[in-house]
Amino acid sequence: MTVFKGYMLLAKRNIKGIIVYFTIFTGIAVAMGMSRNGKFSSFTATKLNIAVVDCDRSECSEEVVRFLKKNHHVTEASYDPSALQERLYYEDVKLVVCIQKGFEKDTLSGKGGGIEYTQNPGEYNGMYVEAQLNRLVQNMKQYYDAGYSVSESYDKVAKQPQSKVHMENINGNGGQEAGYVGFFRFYPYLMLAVLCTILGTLLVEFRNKNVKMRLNASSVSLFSQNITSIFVFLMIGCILYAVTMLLAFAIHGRKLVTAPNLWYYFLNSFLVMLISLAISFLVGLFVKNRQQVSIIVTPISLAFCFLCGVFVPIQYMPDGIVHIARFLPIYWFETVNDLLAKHADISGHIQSQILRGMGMELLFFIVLISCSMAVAKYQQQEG
Amino acid sequence: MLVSEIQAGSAKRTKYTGKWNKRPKYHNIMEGMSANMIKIENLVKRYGNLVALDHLDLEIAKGEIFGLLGPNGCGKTTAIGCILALLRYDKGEITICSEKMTPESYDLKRKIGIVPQEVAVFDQLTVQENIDYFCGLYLPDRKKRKEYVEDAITFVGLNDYKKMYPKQLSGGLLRRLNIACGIAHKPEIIFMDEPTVAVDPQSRNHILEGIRKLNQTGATIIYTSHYMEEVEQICTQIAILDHGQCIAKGTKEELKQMIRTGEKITVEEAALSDQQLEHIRQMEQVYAVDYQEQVLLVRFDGTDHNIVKLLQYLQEQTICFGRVYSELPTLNDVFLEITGKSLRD
Repeated sequence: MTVFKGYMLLAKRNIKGIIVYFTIFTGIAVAMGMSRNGKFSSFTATKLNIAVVDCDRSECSEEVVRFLKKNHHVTEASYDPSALQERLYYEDVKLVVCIQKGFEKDTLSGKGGGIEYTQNPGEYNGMYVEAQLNRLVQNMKQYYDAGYSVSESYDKVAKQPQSKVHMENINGNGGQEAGYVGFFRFYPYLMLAVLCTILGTLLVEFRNKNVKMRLNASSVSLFSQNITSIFVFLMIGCILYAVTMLLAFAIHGRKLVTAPNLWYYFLNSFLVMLISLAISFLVGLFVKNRQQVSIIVTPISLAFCFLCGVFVPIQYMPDGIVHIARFLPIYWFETVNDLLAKHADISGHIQSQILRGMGMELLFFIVLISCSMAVAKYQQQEG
Repeated sequence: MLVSEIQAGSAKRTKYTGKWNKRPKYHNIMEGMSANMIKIENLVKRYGNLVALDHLDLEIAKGEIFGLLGPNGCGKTTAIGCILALLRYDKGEITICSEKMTPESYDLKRKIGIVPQEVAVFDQLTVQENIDYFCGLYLPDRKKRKEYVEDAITFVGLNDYKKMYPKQLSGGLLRRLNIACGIAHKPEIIFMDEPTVAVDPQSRNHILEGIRKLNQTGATIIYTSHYMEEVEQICTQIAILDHGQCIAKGTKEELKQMIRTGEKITVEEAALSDQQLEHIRQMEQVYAVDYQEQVLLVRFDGTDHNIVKLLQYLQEQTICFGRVYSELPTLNDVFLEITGKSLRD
């Protein structure tokens, strides 16, 4: 009880610092999470902003423009290369479609071509529009060859039954990444940074060589001291977990309440809290003073987050890094998080993958806490 | 030394009449037991190739202020670490109150208080909170603890500093806090590892006086220091350690009787010829003469009329001289004669 009381007193003394650190790291995590919202999605049907320059001014080119207007946000422009480049640079439009002079003649004679696509480097939207226009022009040509006029040909093509696309709403969010996914993605950073700081600050006091000597010489057993320490750390972790979950509800409100995998998110986050506790405890065993706490916390939390897919999604990471990341617990947290983000219905293969990931997290927690206890005992024996 | 002798010795001192006398009568526990509170047999502790404790044997009786004296690095702190089962040792046996001391001897540990060499307190807790915390490691009863904490604060004279943090205290006051944290639970055995290092004379006197008071209330105190004056001043039994071995043990009088030096006389600014020095060497009871930069140091193996005889000779020879003073042997002389080096080296 005395050891517990000591921890509580020290926590109380450091409460201002803890709140400041919590606010800073939570602010960073929430901001990073929000900035990533919607950037990573699997599939969504979109209309592009397109600038069209019709140099041909023919019946055929007009039908092409009509088609584009039907499927995209189109602005007609005059042929001014520098003005068009500027609009592309500032992403006013994603694509410039230039129908060249002689387009109708070339198309109807079967020569093909006559449309130029200009877009920013690294953009692939042009391919999508090009495919749409190629299909339109080919179909119109077939109707034209069969004896229909240009406008009749377009009408025939337009009336063709559209191939039905059935988009399965696998993630329950129309292919879009839900807002709270970003929060949970950055959750390990928040937990690692805050818990390492809090536990480091508390452990520094208790791991002071001379205080430790006094504690070891006392009639409170080492086992009892360790059990109390673990209990206190778990309590701190649970409080932090509860506060962060409430924060998530406050930020994402109804969306999170109705999230299809809410309980899985809760469980996964709880596991990462346990892992962060174990890492923080292990780190705390090597910290000698309060200055070292702040020096060590940042690189450790950042290293884990960079390697394990917190800052860069796992699918974009090089294979070599992913292989290394498999030996780190946060990787499994992010893997489970990705699966939860992509699937609303957790069953069968997906469920077993998620449970395997959570099992790995639990295993890492047990290994880390065992290592910490072994190090603590070794340090105690070596004095 | 028998317990009765120690108690008789203690009785000569002025009794401390403060609240601290309300400490539990621990000595009843010892009735019928061996008089040895602590017994160390054949203790060996190595740090790699360095032998820190070399077959150390010690017996500490109940009620003693037992001084462990020796130069820095002689093994004093290591010995305490082993006794308290804080360090694993390679060989030997340690018994406290006739029970083998192990890291799991929590009942024994309850009887022990420790005042480490360095100040061991929480920087972020106040004076009162620190004492309460460390007392609570031994005494779960909150009500009783509150009373004990107040006693400890009064005992070390920190009443005006209760709400202050350690960083706000001076070196001397910090040492007092360190002591209060170690003794608040009123232990039977108190280990004090150089508690007066880097302390001003006023605080040192306060601390030494406090140690005497603790002893008067029945506590056995094991006091380590490399300050021989302190050890001479307060310890009833002294063991001198060097290279992890106990090279001498006894009361200060017994230790001084072990050596040849009975008296040292120093004569300053004396211009002496070789012949005169030889005459001095031939004087009765003189066994060593040292003459450097006109300072004459004569060692006598007896204490009878040496100064008179020496001054008489100097007057006869019409030798001019400055200050003359006589010193009785110190523990440093004991150490010097046994090991050939000074305690301060």
